[in-house]
Amino acid sequence: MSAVEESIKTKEISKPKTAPIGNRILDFLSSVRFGVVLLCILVFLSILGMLFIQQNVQGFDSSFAMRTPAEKFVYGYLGLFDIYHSWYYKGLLLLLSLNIVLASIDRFPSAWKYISEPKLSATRGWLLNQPQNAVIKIYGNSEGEIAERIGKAFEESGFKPRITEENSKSYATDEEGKKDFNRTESKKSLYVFGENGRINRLGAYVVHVFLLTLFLGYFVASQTGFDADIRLTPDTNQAIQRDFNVAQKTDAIQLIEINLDKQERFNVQLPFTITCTEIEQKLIDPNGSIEINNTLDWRTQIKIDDPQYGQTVADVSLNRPFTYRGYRFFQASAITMGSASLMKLELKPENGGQPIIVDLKRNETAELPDGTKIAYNTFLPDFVMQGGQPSTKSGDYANPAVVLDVTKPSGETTKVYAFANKLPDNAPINAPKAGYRWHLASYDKSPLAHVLSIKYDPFNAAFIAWYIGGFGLIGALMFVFFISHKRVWAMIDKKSENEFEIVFGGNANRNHLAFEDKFKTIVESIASNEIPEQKI
Amino acid sequence: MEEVNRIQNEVFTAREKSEKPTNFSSYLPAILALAGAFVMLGLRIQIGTGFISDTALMMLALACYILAALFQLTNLYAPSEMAQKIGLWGATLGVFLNLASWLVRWVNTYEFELVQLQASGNTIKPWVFRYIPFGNLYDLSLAFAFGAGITTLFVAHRKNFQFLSAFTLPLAALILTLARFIGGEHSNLMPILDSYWRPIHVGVASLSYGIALVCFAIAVVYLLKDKVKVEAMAIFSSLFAIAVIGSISGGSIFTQAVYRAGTFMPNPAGGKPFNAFFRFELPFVGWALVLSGILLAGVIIAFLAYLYQ
Ligand code: HEM
Repeated sequence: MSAVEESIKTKEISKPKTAPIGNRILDFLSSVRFGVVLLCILVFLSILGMLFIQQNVQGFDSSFAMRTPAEKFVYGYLGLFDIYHSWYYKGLLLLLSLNIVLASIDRFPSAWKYISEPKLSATRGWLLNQPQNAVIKIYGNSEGEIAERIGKAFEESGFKPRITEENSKSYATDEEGKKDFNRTESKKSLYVFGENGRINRLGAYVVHVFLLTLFLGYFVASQTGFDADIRLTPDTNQAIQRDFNVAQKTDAIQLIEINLDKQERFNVQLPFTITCTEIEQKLIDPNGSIEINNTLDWRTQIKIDDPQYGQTVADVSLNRPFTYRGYRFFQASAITMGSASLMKLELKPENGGQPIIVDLKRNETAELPDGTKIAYNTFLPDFVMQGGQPSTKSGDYANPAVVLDVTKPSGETTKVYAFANKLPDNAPINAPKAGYRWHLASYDKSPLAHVLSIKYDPFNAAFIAWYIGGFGLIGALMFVFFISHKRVWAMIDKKSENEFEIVFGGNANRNHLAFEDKFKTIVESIASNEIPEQKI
Repeated sequence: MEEVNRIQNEVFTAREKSEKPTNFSSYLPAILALAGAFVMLGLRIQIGTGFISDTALMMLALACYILAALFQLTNLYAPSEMAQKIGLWGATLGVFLNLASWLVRWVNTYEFELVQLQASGNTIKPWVFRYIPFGNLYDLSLAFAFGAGITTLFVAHRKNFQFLSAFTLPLAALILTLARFIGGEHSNLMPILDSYWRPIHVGVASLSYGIALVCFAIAVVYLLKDKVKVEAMAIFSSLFAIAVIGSISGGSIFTQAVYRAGTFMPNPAGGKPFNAFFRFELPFVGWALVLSGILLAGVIIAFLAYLYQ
């Protein structure tokens, strides 16, 4: 819509055949039509991104494995497995941003006119053409006094009044009341103009600013940052780390890249080392499983050794991510292979006497009064001997056992298995060792490893995009749609000595029903010839 | 199509005849419904588990929605002040019970888990928003229907918009019916959902679904008012339905006449069930959907023939 609402349109008689090529390109780039097309393409690509499991999403590996070689090749070539980072997606976003900027610049002057040069007067015909209009007759002393009165009524309803005198031109009428199109008459009329919420005309630009914040923030984040997972266990046992592809200490993270049909993993070096010191799973029912539906929270304790900034210890919980130097650590999932973080051992001396209770932490060593050292080696949830080596049949706590390295004061070391299930005393594996009969009295459940998701965003661009851009966009859209620019005009026409005709017209750019109510209230309050009482 | 004519000729134009601008008391039904529901919440907390259950409240809300819609529909055929009044206050009662059900459910979910925690010797007392009924599709449906209901009440503050309930309340009733089929059993919350984002995100989403539902009804009514042919609307709805049937199950309905559903496999190694690599074929469903597609195509052809004859 243009603020020049009453301009007389002249037919263009001749049009230059072609505008300069530069102008035409600019016109095209700033056209709303082009913007709409770009938006549709982006929406379409985003839908594709939801239909094809993206490479950083859980379940990608299995879905990728199911594809035929041809699918892998074609989709991989088209970048469909990582569409939001593909060059064409980012290119379209930039183009759309440019388009919004240009379109906004193009239209801004006409929106600004509503604020810089409000329309203060109008012809009778124009007023009667407005969605809301009314003609009333009232009595008063002078035009000035009537204008005052109308202004007050406007003000009462929250409209800022402005009184102007303007020459109005109209065709003269002959004796029979017919318009004589050969003569125009010029008459001075007093106008009262009132408006409310004109700032709303700029709402679209506020929306676009936040929209651009969102787009550009996202663009910068995806250009400069990355997402990756690390699988961390506090368990120092090398064999377990190898078997389950987990680490206790790492200074690199693995990223995936699809190169045509091949998934390639490559390491990205971190500027610090991460060590997992403890993981914990808070359960609803501590005797139940470590499955998700019995879980309140997961907590991973990490230690960061940074050559530049020294050591930091931090906790990462499900809804408490931890941020360090642009890296944000989130809980992503758990490897629900049963393990334990705290064990209670019951030791019965071989030669009789009171049993000894020992508390042992994962990775740690406990010492008995007689100087025997008990070192944690491994926890096995479903113990089985395999090829002479202790191993586990499954991840469930079916036959939990802890493997210990026990060193006698004499310096001699033995491997000891302590079982949670009661075993017959004569079972060879339950034979007394190092002077004691060993029993795993209790343990608290903890998964073997936690998967942390790392989001690297060196410029906080994602934060700016989503929090400032996102909330700003919501606020701006509310501003656009819940505020409206309402305008009313009253033209005062002297009919006789103290009889005046007032022509009202009004419009609003939104919420026409509410405006209609307001308009009626204003007109009625003026027609009833009484100024609404001042509220005290 | 008498009611369509009435919408076109009377209901929307009634505004010109309507006397006064609206005032505060026109919002009374919405205010009463909201306040009443919170009183019910207070009663539930005071009285304890002996109080009426949330699922029973939901069924009552459903009954009220249907009743109100029925009277509003009757009012379209045979205008009567009484039918309109019953429609409005029936809707108010429905919204009241709907929100009461949701609020009471909050308390029930809280107690459900607290009992579990205490039984296993856990002394943790999680924060109250952990139990906000936005945890599953049942909860969401309750909130969705409430969103539609309360929007209907707000819109109904203009007298000549009250008839919209005839369109929106059957939809709200449909949602509650679906919720009934899902079932209101309590289940433990996924740990990831125990975040302050959930009340914000799901709350905004479900209310806006409700608002969008009312907007949908208004849009249809405006189409009627602008004399778009009902048959044309039926044709487009049928096309949309065919597109939906054609695109579900990986497009296998119209190509192979089978419907396959995604399957979760129990994890033999323990741990959460995983998404199976294959989809399980449900017997008969494929053919039933093909039949529906054919019937929809029949609708399209019949109405096209009717429109162009
Ligand atoms: C997701 C994308 C977009 C959103 C959410 C959005 C939002 C809005 C909103 C809320 C308005 C105000 C509407 C009104 O006053 O009634 C508006 C106006 C406008 N938008 Fe956008 N917009 C988007 C993209 C675009 C694009 C790509 C263009 C590029 C050509 C564009 C050009 C305009 C123009 C020219 C106006 C009218 C300004 C005026 O009347 O002064 N918008 N937009």
